[in-house]
Amino acid sequence: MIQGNLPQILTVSELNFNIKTLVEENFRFVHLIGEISNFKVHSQSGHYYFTLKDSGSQISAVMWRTRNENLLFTPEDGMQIVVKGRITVFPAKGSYQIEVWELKPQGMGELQARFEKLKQKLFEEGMFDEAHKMELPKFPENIVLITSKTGAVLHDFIKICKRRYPLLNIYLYPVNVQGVSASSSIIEALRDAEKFQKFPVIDIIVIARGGGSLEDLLPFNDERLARVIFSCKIPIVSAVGHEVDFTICDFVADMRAPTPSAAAELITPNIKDLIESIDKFSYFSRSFVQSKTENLRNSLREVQGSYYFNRPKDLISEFNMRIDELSKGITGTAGGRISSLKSSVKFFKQTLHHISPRNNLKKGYAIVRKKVDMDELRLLFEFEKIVTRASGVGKNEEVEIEFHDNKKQAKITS
Amino acid sequence: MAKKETRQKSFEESYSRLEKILEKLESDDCSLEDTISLYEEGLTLTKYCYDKLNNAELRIKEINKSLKGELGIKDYK
Repeated sequence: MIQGNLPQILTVSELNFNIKTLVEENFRFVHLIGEISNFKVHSQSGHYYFTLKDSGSQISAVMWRTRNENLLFTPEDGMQIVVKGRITVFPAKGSYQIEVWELKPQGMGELQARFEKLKQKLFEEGMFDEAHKMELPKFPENIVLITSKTGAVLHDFIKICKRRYPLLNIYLYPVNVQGVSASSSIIEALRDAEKFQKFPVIDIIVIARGGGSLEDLLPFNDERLARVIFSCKIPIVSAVGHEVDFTICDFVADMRAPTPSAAAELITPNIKDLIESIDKFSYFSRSFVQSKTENLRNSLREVQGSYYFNRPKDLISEFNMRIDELSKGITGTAGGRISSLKSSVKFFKQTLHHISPRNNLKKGYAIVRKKVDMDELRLLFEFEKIVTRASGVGKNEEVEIEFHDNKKQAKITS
Repeated sequence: MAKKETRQKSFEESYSRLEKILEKLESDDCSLEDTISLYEEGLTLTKYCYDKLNNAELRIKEINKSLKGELGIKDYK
C-alpha cells in the first residue's frame, strides 16, 4: 500500500533506540522468576551482576549497590529467586537486561531450607546442648541490652524492667537489627559487651528485636553470630521476633524469650513478690522466735515441775506429815494411858475405901486392941496389938475397943 | 565514702542471707542465743531490703563507641 514510497531505512542506532523506547515503555515494571547463575559482585562498585534463567531461556540482570545494600542475604548461584525491576536496553550493545530493584528467594522454601541446614549443622556440633547453657543470675544488677534505639522494643523493655525490678541498671548498646549489616553490628556489640566487663560486672546480655518475616530475621540466623553467642562468657538471652519465630540465635543463646517483653520479665524478679516474701520472712521469723522462746519457757516449767526438782520439797512435807502423825500418836496414847491409870486409881481407891476397916467400923464392927509387953516382942516399947481371937485375951485384961467414932477402954470380965 | 561501700551489700546477698536465716530459724538445732542473734540480723536485713526496693530507680545508660573504637557510657536520652 505504500506504493511509490521508498522503504524507510534505519540506522542501527535508530533501531536500537526505537527498541529501547518501545521495550522500556512497555516493561517498566516486571516481576520475574528464575534461577541465579554466573553471580558476580563487582569488586569496586559493589554492583551485582548475574544471569537469571529457567530451563529454556535466560536474561542478564544487574542490581546496583544502592539497591543491594539493603538485601538481607547474599544471593548465590542456583538460588531460585523472584525479582522486581524494569527492563533496560543498552543501545550500544544491542542487548537488554533486567535492572533489579528487589530480590527475594522464591517462596520461603529456599531460606527455610538454608535455615534448617544451618540449624542441623550447629545442632550436630553440640552448640544447642543444654550442658553449654549458662544459668541466669536471679538478681541481675547490670545488663547490656543490644537492640535498635528506635522502635517499641526498647520502650517496652524499659517499661517492664522499671515496673518489675527497678534495681536494675540497663546498658543500652544500640545496633542495627535489620539488613545485611545487622549481624555484623550485633557481633561487634557482643564482643564489646564482653570487653565492657572492665567497668561494671555485666550479669546478662539481651539481644532483642521485634517480630518480622523470615527475611527480616535473617541476620539472627547468621552462622558467625551463632558462634560468637556460643563463645560469649556472659549469659545471653535471645528475644528475637515474636512467639512463633525461632532463629538460630534463639537456639544457641543461654535462654530464649518469646518476645522482648517476655525477656524483660524472664530476667527480672518481680518486686511485688520480693516484698511479699520479705513480709513473709518478717512474719515467720517473728513467729519462730516467739514459739521457740515459748517452747523453752514451757520446758523450763516442766523441769521445775519434775519429780527430781520437787523431791526436797516433797521430803520436807513428808517429814512434816510424819511429825504430825507421831505427835498425834504420842498425845493419843499418853492421854489414854493416863486416863486409864486415873480410872484404875479411882477404882482402887473405891475398893480400898470399901474394904477399909475404918469404913467397916461404921457398920458396927469394932477393933479390939491390947497392950503387948515389950518382952514379948523383945522390944523396949509398948505396942498395941489387934486381938483377932477370943483366946487372945485373958480375964481381967484391959483392952481398947475402937469404934468408928472413938476409942473406949474395957476390961474382960470372963 | 569507701567505708559506706564496703558496708553495702548487694540486694542479692542480703536476700539470700534472709532465706538462709529463715532456714536456720526453722531448724530444730538452733540455740536460743543463735535464734535471737539470727532474728536481729534478719530484722536489719529486711529493713535494708525494703529500703533498697522502695527507693530503687531504674538507671539506663547508653554505650557508645568513638571512631577510634573506644567504648564510652553516656546517660540515655
